[in-house]
Amino acid sequence: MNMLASILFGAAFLMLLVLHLAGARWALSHLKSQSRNEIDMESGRADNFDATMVRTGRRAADSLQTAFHSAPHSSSGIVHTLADCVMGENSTAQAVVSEADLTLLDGSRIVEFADCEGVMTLASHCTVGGHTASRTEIRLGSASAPLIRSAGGGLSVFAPRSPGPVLRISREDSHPDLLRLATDTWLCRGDFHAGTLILEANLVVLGSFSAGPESNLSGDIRASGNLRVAAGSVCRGNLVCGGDMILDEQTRFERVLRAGRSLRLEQGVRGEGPLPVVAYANDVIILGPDVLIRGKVASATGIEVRP
Amino acid sequence: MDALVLLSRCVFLAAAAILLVYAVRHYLFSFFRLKLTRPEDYSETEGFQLPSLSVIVPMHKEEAVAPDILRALIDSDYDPALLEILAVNDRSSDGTGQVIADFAAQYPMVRALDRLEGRGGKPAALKFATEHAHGEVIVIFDADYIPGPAILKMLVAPFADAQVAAVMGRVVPSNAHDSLMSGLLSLERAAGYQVNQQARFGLGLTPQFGGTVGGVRASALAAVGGWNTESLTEDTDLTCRLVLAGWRVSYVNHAECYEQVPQTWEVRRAQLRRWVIGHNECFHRFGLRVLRAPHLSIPERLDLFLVLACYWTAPVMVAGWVASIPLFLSGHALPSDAAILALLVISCQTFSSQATLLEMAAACFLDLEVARALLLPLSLLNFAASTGAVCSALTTFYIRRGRGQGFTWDKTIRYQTGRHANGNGNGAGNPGNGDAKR
Repeated sequence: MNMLASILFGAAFLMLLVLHLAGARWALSHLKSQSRNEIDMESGRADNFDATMVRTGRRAADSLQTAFHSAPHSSSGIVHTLADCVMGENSTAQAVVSEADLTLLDGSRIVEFADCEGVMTLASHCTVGGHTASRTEIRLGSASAPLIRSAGGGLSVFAPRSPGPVLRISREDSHPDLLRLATDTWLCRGDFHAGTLILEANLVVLGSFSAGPESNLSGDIRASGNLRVAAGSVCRGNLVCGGDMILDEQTRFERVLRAGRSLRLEQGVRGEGPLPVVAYANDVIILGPDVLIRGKVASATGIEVRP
Repeated sequence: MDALVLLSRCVFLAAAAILLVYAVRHYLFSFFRLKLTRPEDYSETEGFQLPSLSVIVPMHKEEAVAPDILRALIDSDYDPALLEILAVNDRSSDGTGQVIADFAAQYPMVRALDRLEGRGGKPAALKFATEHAHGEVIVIFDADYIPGPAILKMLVAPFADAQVAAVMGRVVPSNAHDSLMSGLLSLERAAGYQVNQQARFGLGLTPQFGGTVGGVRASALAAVGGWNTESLTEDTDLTCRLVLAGWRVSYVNHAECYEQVPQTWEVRRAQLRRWVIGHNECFHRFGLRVLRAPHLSIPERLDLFLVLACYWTAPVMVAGWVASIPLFLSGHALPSDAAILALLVISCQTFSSQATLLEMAAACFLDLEVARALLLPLSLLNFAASTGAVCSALTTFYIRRGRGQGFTWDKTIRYQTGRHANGNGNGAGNPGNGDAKR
């Protein structure tokens, strides 16, 4: 009996081994001949999304060759059109890609992302769950291009104040609380709150950061907590924080804003520089009135425009 | 006899405990990635952060592959006014210098640097080139890589963060199908980058700067003393020094570039030997300092310490196995049957050579490389062979260290001989490139 069991066990083991070897051989040959559908690496949408569902190369198999206009209150999966696309009022789609213009009428909701080659027009109460991108222009209400701009909300509430004490941090000289991280970078092991600040070096803050009104920030700033730049300031460097970021009224930024949580751009904030700028937040981005950005606004959660 | 049994029992339990810590860590990373949440990345800001850039390509007898990488870098979509390519002819006796000179004559952005003498090894070449670099950021590629046109923008995007001193991209084997060894190593690499590095970055731990397909902030590099030419793993050495100084390391999973992994066991063993010795040097140099670093969180300290000690898992496991023999022969019961099972399971699950089976399976899933998952059972072969090689390398390390002898840099053998045999570096149409990541 024991002999029989041993033989059976041995045979089963050998069979398993042969199966594994055969599987490995098949896998190797399969890998060798494998060809994949191409994805557009520039789209930046590879993560968490099977791009071949939408595009094979640059075209989906079920692309609509003609203009598409969904009925109001309708619901669909992924919409890909080679011509203009209009999502009807209160309609829902998983994702929309248009090779021409894209219009989302009142209350339409896109779960994943909306992307178009031409002009994208977003009417009131539209929601896009992920990326919202256009190669040409995005119109929120009545905006112009190629920029993203919120509607006007009246007069600015910011009035320039007489400057108080000014703190200057350069590559050579700094604040006593700062440690030198490199020739061009200072480190603050805690919160850093200053009045009007003239920053000519990079600053890493292991806490929250704030700079007073009419600050001039030429260096990059990285705060692990919240970051706030008061009204009338100019940010020529990159601003990155792990928490919430607020740029107060009439502040101007010229490079990258990246907030670990929300980003709030108050009235009249301008994002423009020698190169296109970008404002990104992992949480919601809130645009106050008269915000103007020549570049890109992106949020992993959503963008709100407040009058 | 009792003393031997007691000692064996202690060794056995200690080994099981240490391996359990590693197993838990690897499982944590795997589950973190399998949650399929959007990974932390800088893709939204790519192309908006364009510092002046020096790309360093150290070349030691790279005549066959030098034109490919230089052509690829010239074709990059980075602003040419902000880009310089430092092609280092590092003591080559073949036609590498002439190839570089031809490119430098034709393209102003290519600078030919001749290093005719001095210490061998990549760190020395990097130090030499860095002295001639003008960029705010230095990006490094090995000569047999072919970077895609967009990868430079991907790699520099995290430098918008003033605390980021180094950025690592993803290295993907392009010859996964050429031999069983390369297929198994492709599994290990996928687990290491797609799961391990990305999870460490996403969890706020320290991804490792790998010395190629990566960039470093020039001012940060200078501040921590530059490249350590004494180290066999200058990348791990630099990672530790940067983190201890207060900088952070970032990881860009979609910045993929292709490499040729070893296809034969001899080549693999030589590569592993260098890694083990270099890594262990760093373990001795930085292990305690990492544990004591006040500015790092406890998880950061523990994780980096475990990274530095990772090659010790092989002898620890062997010690656990050896300890079980006297317990068995003496007729004494082992601590418990469950513990035996735990050690065996933890050993196989944890390693399969520096990546758990679950990590490798998770990487196959995330890369949509289901076929490659069929190789998973055979990774035990790699595990067994690597365990022996790691133990041997560690023994060599301590013998030479005890004698006060140094170590020499062994260059990994290249398999690539023709043009563009290394993929297009842009995530398209290359076997094993993981181009459809979730």
